[in-house]
Amino acid sequence: MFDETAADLTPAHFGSALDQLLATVPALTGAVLSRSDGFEVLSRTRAEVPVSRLSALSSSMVALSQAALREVGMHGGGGSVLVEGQDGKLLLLEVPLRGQPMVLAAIGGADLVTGTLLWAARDCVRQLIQA
Amino acid sequence: MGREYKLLFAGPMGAGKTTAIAAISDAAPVRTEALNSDRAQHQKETTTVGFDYGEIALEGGDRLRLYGMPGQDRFDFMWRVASEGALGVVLLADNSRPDPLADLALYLESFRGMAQRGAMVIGIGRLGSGHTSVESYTAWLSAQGLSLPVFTVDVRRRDDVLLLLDALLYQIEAARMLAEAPHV
Amino acid sequence: MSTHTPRTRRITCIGFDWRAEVSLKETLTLLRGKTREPWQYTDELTADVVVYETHNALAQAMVRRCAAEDAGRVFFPSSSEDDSVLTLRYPFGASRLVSCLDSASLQLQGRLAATEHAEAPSLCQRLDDALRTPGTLAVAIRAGGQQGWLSLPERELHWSQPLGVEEIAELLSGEVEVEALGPTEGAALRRLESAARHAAPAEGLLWAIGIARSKGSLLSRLDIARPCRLRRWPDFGAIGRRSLDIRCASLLTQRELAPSHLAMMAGIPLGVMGNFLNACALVGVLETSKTLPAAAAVPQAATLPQESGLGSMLRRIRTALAIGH
Repeated sequence: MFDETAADLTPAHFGSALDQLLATVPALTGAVLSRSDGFEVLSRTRAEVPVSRLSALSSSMVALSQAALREVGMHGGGGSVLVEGQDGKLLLLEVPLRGQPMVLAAIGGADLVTGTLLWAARDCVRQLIQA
Repeated sequence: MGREYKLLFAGPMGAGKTTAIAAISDAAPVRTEALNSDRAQHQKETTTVGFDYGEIALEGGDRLRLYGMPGQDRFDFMWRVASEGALGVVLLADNSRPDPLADLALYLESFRGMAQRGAMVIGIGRLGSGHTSVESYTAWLSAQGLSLPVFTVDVRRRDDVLLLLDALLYQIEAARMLAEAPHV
Repeated sequence: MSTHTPRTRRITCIGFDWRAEVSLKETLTLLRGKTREPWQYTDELTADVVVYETHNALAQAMVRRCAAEDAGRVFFPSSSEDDSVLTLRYPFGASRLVSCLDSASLQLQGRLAATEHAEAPSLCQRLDDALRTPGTLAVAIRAGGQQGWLSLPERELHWSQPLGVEEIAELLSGEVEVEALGPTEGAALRRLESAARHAAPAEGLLWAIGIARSKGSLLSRLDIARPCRLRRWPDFGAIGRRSLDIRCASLLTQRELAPSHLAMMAGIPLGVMGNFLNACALVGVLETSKTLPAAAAVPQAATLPQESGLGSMLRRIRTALAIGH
C-alpha cells in the first residue's frame, strides 16, 4: 500500500508522522517531504505520484510564495500554499527544521475538505519538527 | 499599462545568474533561494529554486523583465514556463565544472527555439579554472549548426554583463534584418 | 571669433567606465554653441580628440600607437604629474571640457592634417602575409628589444617577457619586424622557443593590430565585392566591447555578405568596416567566398525602421542600459 523513498538516513519519526497523516485523512492520495532546495526526502502514497518532480515543484512554489510575501512586507516562515483544481487539491507547508528547512506536500481528491487537510497537515509538521 | 519584455538567464548552479541580474537590475532583484543541500554539485550556501527576478524601466513606461532560472535540471519545468514569449536567453557556462559542454547541451536542448533563431548568447565564466578552451565551445556549437556569440566573462563586472546583452540585442536585430533582406 | 570655417570636430574617450562615455556625450550636447567649434562624440579612435584613462593599460597602449601614427590629433589624459598638461578627469566638468575643447581647436587649426600614406604595407598586412605563407610553422615577431612568436595553426602567442602594457604599446606603435618560419628554419624556431616562453592570449593582440595598424586599407586578399562570413564570434570578452564590432559580427555570423552590403546594413562607413574585417581576418575567423556574386546585384538597404515595434524596443533597451549607438 505504501511506498518509501530515501528512508535510510531520515529520522524514524519522519516516517511515523507521514504514516499518521495518511491514517488520519483517508482522502489523501499521498504526502511528500522534500528539502527546501527540491530534493525528495520521504514519501507515502496511495497512488502513482511523480515524487521527484513534485519535490522540485514544491520547493519552487514555496520559495516564490515567500518572495511574494516579502515583496508586500510580510516576513517570517511557517507559510503554506494551497492549489485547488476541479480534480483535487495540493497543499504545501513549510517545515521549519533547524539546519535543513523542508517542504511538506499533501495531495488530496476533490472531496477532501480543505479545513481537515490544513489541520492534519499542520499537525504532521508539528510532529516533524519535534526533536 | 506599459508593455513587458522578458529576458532569461540560464546555466548550471553557481554560474552567476543571480549575480548577473543584480549587476544590471534597476532595483535589488527578488530572490527565491533555499539552503543548498547538494554540496557535491556546488559548495555555495544557497541556490535559486524559484527564479530570480529583476527589471529595467524603459522609455514610454515599458519594462524589461529579467528572470534568472534555477540551475539544476530538476527545475526544468520552470525553464519551460519562463521560455514562453521570452526575447532571448543569456546562457552562463562555468568552465570549472567537470564537463561544461555537457552542461551546455542540456540548456541548449531546453532553449532550442531561442538558440535556433539566434536569440542566445553564451558567457563562459572561470575560464582559467578548467581545461575547455573557448574554441572548443564554438566548435561544439558549430557542430550543432549554431554560431552564437561566445565570450569569456566575469559577471561580477557590470560591463561584462552589458557585453552579453549588447550581443544578444544585436543578434535579435540581425536575425530580423536578415529575414527581411533578400539574399544577394 | 575665429575666421576659420566652423566644422564639426569629433571626440572620443577610451579606457573609461561606460558611465564616462555617457556623461561625455551628454555634456557635449549641453555645450552646443558654447565652444569655438562644434563637437560630436564618436566611437572611433580616428577622432580629433582622444580622452584616455591613464590607469587603463590598453587605453595607454592604443593612445601611444595613435600618437605615433598621426600627429594631427590631440590627446587629453585623465591625470598627469605635469601641471602644465591639460587633463580631463571623469566626471567631466562643463567648464573644464570647454577649455580643453577650445585648446584642442587651436592646436588642430595650427596643424596640417596628416594625409600621406607611407608606401610600405601595414603591419596588419605583413602579419597576415606571414601567417598565410604556405608551410609556415611559426611567425617570428620582433618589436624594439623584445621578441615573440605565433605558433600555427593554433595561433598561440609566446613572448620573451610577460606581455604588459609597455610591450603591447611597442607592438601597436613602434617598428615591428615580422618573419614567417618554415620547416627549413628549424634552428631559428628552436632559438625562439627557448627565448620566448611566456604564453600570452593572442586574440586580443591580433585584434588590436587589425584595428589600429591597418593604415586604413583592406587586406589585399579581401575584396569589398566578395561575400564573406565569420566562422565564429571573436571573443569580445577578451578583446573588449565595442558596439560597432558586435553589430557587424552578429550580421556576418548569420549570413554571408559582401563588405559593401554589410556596411550598408550596419550603417557603418566602408573605411571603418575595413579595420573590422582586417581584425577578423588576422584573428582567423573570416572566411571569404570562393566566388564573386554572379551579377552585381544592388543590395537593398534593410535596416530596421527605428520605430518599428522591434526596432523601438531594442533602442529603448539600449538607452536604458547605456549601450550601443
